[in-house]
Amino acid sequence: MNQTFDFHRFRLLLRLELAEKGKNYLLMGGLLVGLMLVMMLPIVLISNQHNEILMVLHALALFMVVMFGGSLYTSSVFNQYGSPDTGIASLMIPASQLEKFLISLLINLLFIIPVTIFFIKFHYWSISYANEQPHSLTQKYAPIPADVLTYFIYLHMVIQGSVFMGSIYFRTQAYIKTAGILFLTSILACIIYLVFAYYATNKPSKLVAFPFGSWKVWYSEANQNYHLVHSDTALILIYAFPIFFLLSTWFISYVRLKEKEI
Amino acid sequence: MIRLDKVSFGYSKHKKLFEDLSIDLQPGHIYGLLGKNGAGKSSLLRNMAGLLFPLSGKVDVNGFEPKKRQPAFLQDLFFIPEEIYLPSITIDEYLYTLAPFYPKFNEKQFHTYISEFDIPEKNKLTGMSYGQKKKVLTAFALATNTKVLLMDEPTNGLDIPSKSQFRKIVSSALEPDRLILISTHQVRDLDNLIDGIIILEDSEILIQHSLDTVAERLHFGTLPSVEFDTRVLYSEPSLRGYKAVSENSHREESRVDLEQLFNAVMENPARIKQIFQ
Repeated sequence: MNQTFDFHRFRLLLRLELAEKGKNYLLMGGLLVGLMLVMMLPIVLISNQHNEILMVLHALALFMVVMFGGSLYTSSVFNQYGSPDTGIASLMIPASQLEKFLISLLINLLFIIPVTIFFIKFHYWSISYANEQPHSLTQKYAPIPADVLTYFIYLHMVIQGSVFMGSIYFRTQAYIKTAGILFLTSILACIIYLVFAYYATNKPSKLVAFPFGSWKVWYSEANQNYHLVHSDTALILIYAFPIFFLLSTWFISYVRLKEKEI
Repeated sequence: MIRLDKVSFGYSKHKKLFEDLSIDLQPGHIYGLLGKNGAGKSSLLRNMAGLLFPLSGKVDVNGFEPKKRQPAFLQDLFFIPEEIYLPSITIDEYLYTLAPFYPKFNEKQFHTYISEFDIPEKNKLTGMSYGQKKKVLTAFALATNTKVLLMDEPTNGLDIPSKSQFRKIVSSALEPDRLILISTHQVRDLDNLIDGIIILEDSEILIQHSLDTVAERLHFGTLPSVEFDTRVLYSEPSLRGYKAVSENSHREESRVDLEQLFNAVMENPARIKQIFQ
């Protein structure tokens, strides 16, 4: 018998997970998708006038449903290991640690990836649909720029990875603790990055720089502004970082599950 | 089958719950693990189940190292914790989803136990009382036919008729290749059930013997007076004198009273150790 991975055991584990928590997953997933539709559909349904608030609702759907809702969903993946009674029941199931970890990961990815893809597809489709309506002859909706969306997708990966790891790392109030650490780390990273950019560009009069993003620099004395973008090689490294971070959080979560004591 | 070699465990390295503990438990027996609250009984069971990891020493269960929690190890060990969890599904669904993990699971046996425990089968598990849930889990655990069955306070929450049903069912489920270890502080619940006893106190095992050996070395009976009898290890007043535990120097036959034995061990640990050396 393979002690690391066996498809039969994996299938049994999936069946058990769905029997125990399937309803919860469906309810939570349904709620988030429903909320997303409520925020994104008006731009399609209200076709007689241009209204920028409808566009803002799309941005809100990205923040509230895809990122916040998705992370809330992710925070429940290792719920069963949080309390002694459910934790013991889960750890004592005759399946390998890897199988137990992969089930949690699979359940998570089966929700997070489709929801993110659905948001992107529906966003572009609805904007293009709205722009074909009569009112758009004078004013068109602009979709979220591709580079901004890419930035948020990568940010989404970092958040999902952190929350995934936090849900097994912290025994109680995992979501709040993870969110707190993530928030503080992000603020700190932004400040360090901004200070670094400020001194690296010789103290400009105005500067816009987000971690891993390009820099926009203004010099009022010289009446000049610059948009500093990363080189192609640097971009590859920057885009590789969230993937590496995500894989690292998965690995740490797996090790944490292996070392879990109740 | 279960072998602990100089195992030390504690929730911090400076404050150990037990130290250099060695135990050797063999199949074909039902062992009772007794100790006061906080003596470390549950932690000891969890070390055996791979839920807690020893700070030092070696734990061997069925040839496996429990902390690795390998599927083959978990397929042959069932642990009933004190606080149990059952999902919000029916008994049939529970069987459908969980029984296939245990290759030796016997469904017929399970239904027999369920009917002996008088459990309504169609109800959802979460709709049952705590005692009923405990009985369902006990029935399931016995029907898995795992080589090792560990139970932590299994009679907590059971009413008096259920406790005798429990004793009857568990004793009938013992097989020559099976080991059952029951931890409890309610010693009377193990009467007529166990054939081996382990008493844990102050980080060490004070006694680890079969009840036959206990009956050979100690005498349980009623004495008119105990004041000048140096053989007496423990006594308590009763209607006809004193119920006493004394050294069995005359090799008299008596029935082991678990509660009195436990009290005797707690009051005279040093002398008990000497008697059982």
